Amino acid sequence: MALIEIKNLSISLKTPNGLVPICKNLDFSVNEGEIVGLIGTSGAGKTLICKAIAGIHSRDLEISFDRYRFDNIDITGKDLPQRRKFLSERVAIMLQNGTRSLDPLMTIREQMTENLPNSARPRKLWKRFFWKKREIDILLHKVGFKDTKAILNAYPGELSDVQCQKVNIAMALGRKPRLLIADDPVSTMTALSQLQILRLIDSLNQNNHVSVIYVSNDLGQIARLMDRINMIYYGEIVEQGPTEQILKNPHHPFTKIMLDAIPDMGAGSRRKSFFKAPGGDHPDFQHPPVGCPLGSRCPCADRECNIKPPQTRVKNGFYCCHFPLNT
Amino acid sequence: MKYQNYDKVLSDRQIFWHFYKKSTADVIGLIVLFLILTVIFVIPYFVNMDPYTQDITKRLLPPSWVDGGELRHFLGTDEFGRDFLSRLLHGGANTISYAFLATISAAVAGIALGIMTGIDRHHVRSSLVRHSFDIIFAAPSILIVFVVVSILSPTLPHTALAIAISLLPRFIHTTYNAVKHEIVKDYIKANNLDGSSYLRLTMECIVPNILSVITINFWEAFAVAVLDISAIGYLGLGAQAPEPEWGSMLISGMDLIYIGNSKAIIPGIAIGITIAAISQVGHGIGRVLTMGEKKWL
Amino acid sequence: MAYTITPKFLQVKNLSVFFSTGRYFFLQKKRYALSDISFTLKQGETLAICGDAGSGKSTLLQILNDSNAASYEGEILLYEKNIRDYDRRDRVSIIRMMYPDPDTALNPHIRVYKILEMPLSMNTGLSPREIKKRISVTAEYVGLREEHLNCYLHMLTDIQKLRLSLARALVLRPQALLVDSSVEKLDAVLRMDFYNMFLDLQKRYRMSLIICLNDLCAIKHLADKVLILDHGKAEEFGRVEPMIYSPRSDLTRRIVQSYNHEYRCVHSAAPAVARPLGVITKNSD
Repeated sequence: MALIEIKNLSISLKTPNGLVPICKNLDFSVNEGEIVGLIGTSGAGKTLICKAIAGIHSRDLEISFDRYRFDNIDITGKDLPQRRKFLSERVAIMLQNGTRSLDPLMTIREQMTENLPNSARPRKLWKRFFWKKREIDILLHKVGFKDTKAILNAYPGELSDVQCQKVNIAMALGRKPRLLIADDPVSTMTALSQLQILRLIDSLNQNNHVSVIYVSNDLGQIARLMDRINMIYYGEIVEQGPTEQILKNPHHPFTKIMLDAIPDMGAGSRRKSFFKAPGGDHPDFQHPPVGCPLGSRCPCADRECNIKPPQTRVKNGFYCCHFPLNT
Repeated sequence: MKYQNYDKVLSDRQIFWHFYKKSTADVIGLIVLFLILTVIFVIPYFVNMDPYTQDITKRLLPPSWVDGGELRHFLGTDEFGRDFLSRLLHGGANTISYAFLATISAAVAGIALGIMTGIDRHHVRSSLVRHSFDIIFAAPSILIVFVVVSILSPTLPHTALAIAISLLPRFIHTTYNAVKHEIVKDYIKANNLDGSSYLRLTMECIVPNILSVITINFWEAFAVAVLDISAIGYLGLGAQAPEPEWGSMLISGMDLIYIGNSKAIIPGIAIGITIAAISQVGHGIGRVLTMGEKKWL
Repeated sequence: MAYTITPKFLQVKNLSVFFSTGRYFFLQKKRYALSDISFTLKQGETLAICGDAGSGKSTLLQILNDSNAASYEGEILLYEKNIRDYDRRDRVSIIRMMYPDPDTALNPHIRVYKILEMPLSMNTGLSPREIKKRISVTAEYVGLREEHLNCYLHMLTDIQKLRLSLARALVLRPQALLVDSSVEKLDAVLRMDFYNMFLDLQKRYRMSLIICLNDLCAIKHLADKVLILDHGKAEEFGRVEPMIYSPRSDLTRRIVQSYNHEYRCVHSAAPAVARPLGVITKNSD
């Protein structure tokens, strides 16, 4: 059952030189209770897609789509403010740096009370006294804080990044969302901290039936968290499929590059062996390359790749390449 | 991978002009300022204009487009028979060049002091030096001119000196703030470790990166200086007779306003247009320089 | 300048870094950023510094680079000579730092060529032709192209600025390179590119690197010794393999165990090819 269905999403950036297209004709969908991953290198447009879905993109962007259905309600016809209002009750977002997403001048207590929706107000009169205080305590206990008083009285600058991300999750929980968009929340943390946050997201998904769109740039660290993975390169979805298939049987060379970027920790690997990495950087959106954007960085590039861009094919999975692997 | 074309690397001047000309008001200001400066500074070299010769027989002639005016004295004559157009041009040269001199000297001294206090590690010493000039902020420029002019004689260079003193603290403060932002950056530390002397650090690393702040400040101060010099001339403390200067021409025109009102209107218009042009150009430069690097694509 | 090849390249003994925060009668109140750190490095060995944010990793690197204004107690010996006794020119050609922040690490007013040329002209006595050759070789090694040498900083992307700051560090051919935690925060593919460069530096030029790393597999591949910091105190210091396979302290054990969490996917890569000599990288921009 699809929670989100977007057809033909296209994003362009307004520059002094005209419209620069970033994404063209993207089809994106998330099912209920699913964790969907958006994986790509930095600068490929993942954050832009997330912000376009949530409706919080900047004014420089021009977004258009053919169809946008959220939970079987069609919101294609609505203009931006109405769409934002609709989505704000159903979508929660976690951004990359946890400390910076909190207001630095308010204590955590003030911020969490501000964020509680009015719909959570209890009906019965005797439960209405101090309901906000109790609600905040419950939320903080759910994310795993034992000493809530110290956390509540602190300012965001005094907490570590892990604690700030947990507070973000607690605030998101309070609004009872249908969808959580996690924009690379853990990449700047150590492994211990990452584990706590990932377990929290997993428990959110299982217990509260929240679907998650998880954006990351490292396939190896969180591949098993996701149910379906979309690989994004240069603003297009180059491959899509269930996790097991992508990990075992990748079709697109970019997926193979991302898989090769996972270093080997097994006892069999030689120490101080070189990693397999393509050189070069992401192409610029202002100068669109002729042919496939992966171009000469691709391990199996050929003459045709430089001449015409590849078509999307759906055969044993969804990918878009001239010379796919494993088919 | 073939690209369509690689952007050629534009020089700074081309990028600046590309963004400057987007606002027509700023371009008009620039054209007007350019015209004023050309007329004032270039024409007297070619045409012989004498603002000092008095000819009593031809006193108070109106401008040549009114009845009774002569073509030889294009804008008429003042009460002593001196040609008004040449008085206007020479007066403009006086006003603008002394204002420029005042601003430049205030800028040089203020920037030097600002950089020195910015680099200084000793907080108390740099604060003392900076804030001891704040007394000047408290006094309006006219008061400072009174003080200076009563110590020295009331002439135009001394007025310029007094105005330079009154403009000094704002340069110190803005330069100090800009330097404080630059000095904590890593590349200063890196260059220092690589071995550049403090002089080289200042000239190559700090000054070019605070140049935008300095330029914006300079244009604002220039407009203020022109206004101040004219105001002081209006009060009679600036250029003494027979030297022409827009402010003093304005006050002598005020006495004749019922007899020949062009003598008061024309210097007033000149002062107004010049200051407007200068501040519009300054506004445009400020807009372009603070646009931010991200939009320079 | 000939250096005798002693086994001990860098020795740090009981280093404590403190910031003085006021006076309490006659005693100076100190806040210790690092307390009692000691380690030894041989020439060509790599040290990985692990620790959370705020544990003093950046401070340690800045003290070694002499760019921090804090005062320190203890000794730092470079080739068995105190680091303070070195002439600045000699020390700068031995230890150099790659500055982490791409926005503030480089002078935005001058061109890339001049940024790379300044340390050379001030510290070495090479002729202009040799300087030009060394700059072009270093830039190519690091992944910048010739068009970039004439550009200003605002025409480069963030990643190219990082490469440029690495080039500025490498241009003097130092024997130790200090890298702060900017490389870890890149995405996976770029990180591998940088790690390949670091490995190549270690193998071909026998350079010692001192990197702030938190990733266990990167430590395994890049580092010889590990120093784990916890709030300024050295938890553990030793060679990499014993530490990973038989961790002694609690923190190390938790770090090692948390690596294999249930969401991670471990994929055995095919044998990789080393970065070719006379570097022809497949660059795109």
